Amino acid sequence: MTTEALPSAGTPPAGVPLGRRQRAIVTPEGVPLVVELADRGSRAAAFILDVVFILLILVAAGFALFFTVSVLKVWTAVIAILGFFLLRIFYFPIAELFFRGATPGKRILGLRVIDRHGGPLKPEAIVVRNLMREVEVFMPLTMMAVPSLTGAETLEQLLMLAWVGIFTLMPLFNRDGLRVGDMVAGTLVIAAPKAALLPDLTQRATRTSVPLTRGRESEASPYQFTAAQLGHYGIYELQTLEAVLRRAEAGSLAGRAEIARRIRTKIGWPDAQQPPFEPHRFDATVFLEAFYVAQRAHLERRMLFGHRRKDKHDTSGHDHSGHDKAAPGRKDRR
Amino acid sequence: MDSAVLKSTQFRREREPSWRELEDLLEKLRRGSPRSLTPQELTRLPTLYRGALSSLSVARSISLDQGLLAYLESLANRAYFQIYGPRRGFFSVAGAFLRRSFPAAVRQLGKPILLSILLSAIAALAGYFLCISDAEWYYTLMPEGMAQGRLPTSTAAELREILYETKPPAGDMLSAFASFLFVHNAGIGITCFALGFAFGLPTALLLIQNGLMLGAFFALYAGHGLGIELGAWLIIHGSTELLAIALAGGAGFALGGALLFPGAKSRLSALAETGRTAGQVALGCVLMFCIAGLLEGYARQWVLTLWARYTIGGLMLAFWALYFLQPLPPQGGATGSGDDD
Repeated sequence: MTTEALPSAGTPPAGVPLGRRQRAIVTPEGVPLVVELADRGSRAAAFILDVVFILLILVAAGFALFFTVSVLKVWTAVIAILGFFLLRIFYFPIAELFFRGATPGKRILGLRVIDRHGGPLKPEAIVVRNLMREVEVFMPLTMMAVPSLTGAETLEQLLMLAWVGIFTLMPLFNRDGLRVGDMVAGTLVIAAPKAALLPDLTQRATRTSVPLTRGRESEASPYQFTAAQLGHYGIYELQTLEAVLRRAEAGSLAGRAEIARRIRTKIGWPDAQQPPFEPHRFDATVFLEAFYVAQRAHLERRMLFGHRRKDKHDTSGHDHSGHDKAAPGRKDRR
Repeated sequence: MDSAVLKSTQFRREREPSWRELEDLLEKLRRGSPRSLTPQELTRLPTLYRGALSSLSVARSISLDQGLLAYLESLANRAYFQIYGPRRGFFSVAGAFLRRSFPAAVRQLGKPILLSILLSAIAALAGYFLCISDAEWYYTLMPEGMAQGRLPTSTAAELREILYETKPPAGDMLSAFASFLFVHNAGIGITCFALGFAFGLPTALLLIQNGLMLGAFFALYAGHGLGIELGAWLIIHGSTELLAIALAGGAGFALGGALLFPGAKSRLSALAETGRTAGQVALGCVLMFCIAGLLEGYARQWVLTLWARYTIGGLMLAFWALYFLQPLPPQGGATGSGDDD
């Protein structure tokens, strides 16, 4: 029904392509942040976990009353009626209010609620998104569990269920996985990010490729590349190489020699180029790391001049000669 | 070419200590409450956050190190949650809600609420006159479960007995009764609001059905000369309950209106904007239903005289009128609930 009007959550940061599951929000400071949409499956799992917690609380409260207060049937009824209602209405908003946008279930699955446009997440938004759950989940559940409540015939019952099902299944009908509550509250559920700061490859490269040194990192690397040799690849290839080098750290060195061989062919690295090349001593890792450093330095320098070379097919503003001639009028994409 | 010290490497070396500091603070915050930070650390947090944001901006334009970019992106993200996540105490939120946000939200939705009152009133009148003209209508308008033996064929004495139940149930039964009423009515109220998402149509249907039943009920009692007594029986909780239903209906209409007539904004942002206001009204209605449930469950069983019932009902009505129409306290800085941007 409203799927065509999905949020253009913000302009993506320049030069940073957004993945299919990524969205950009703009913080109040005006900086675009890339967030990762929560997976629908983990959202459902988080919800089920939360319902389990609610039931546990209820059972615990029931037992507590059972053992402390004298056993009164009526109170059991009160807890069952009132407790479940109050918990399902207030558990979610209060938890999201206190744990900064995550119920215990969401916390466990690493999810978080944020404002769709990057503003502060307000209490009223939290309240609304959770009140809507009443229609999204609990109403169809009641209709299925207690068909007599609505007093309708089977066919009507089915039709109503199908109609209400549209609310329930809303997250499947839009790209952002928004449920009705998210639409009404203007919120977005994302996967809470967690990334460690990995070592800078250029640092390690200088360390390993100049093994006997003299300690200073400004020492020239044994491999020197000309501007022409660095003119073949773009950012995509550079970052692929980065991934290869990082992955190799975890063990698998296979394929490195092959990659090094392909790069040598591509850039026309003469086997006899400085330093004196000895095939039996040629270490693919050292070569690749040196090439990575040089290539990154080259591309980053070009970036300072306003050229972002996306990949090796991106020849705009760049002639393969490798000269950093700033082609006028070539401002970059996005 | 000098490959050893890239600009991006140098940049990373300069900024890394402050990223690490922010990371440590975030980790502390994640594990404990804001109180686990020293005042100095708390004042550092926004500075470090802005620092991380600027680092991210710079890194995007000068660095091609994916590991670094991913780290900064995630660091800025996590700091953003801490800075802009909701972090107010329950009492501060609840207090601000009762003192300001709820009445303010109700007033903001004045028009849809009037519409919902009008619709209910018209439906009630229609129900009343339909049943007066032909008692058969009563069976159509009133579901069997709701009628509970109160039928056009009942005698005046039977009907009267229901209004003044002479055998009030035991105290514990009353609480179960009150909580059942509350849950049932609050559920209807929330549904009234939430179904507004379907362009307000189901909300209108619910309100009309409710009004028709009320009218039919009145017609039944008025036919037996018990109109005044029924009024007393209804008003004691009805002044709160019917008002709450009207408010919830108004909130639903506001949602539907935002979807149907988004104006200059996109449908989704119009919905989000109205939704937050309407949701506050709906939440307030849950509280009103709680009060109505207590009145219906307890007060109505205890207070049996006509004038006392009218007095309580009238006082409640006056209270709500005063509450919603009071001059609102100005928007507080720290304690005031969100702003109306």
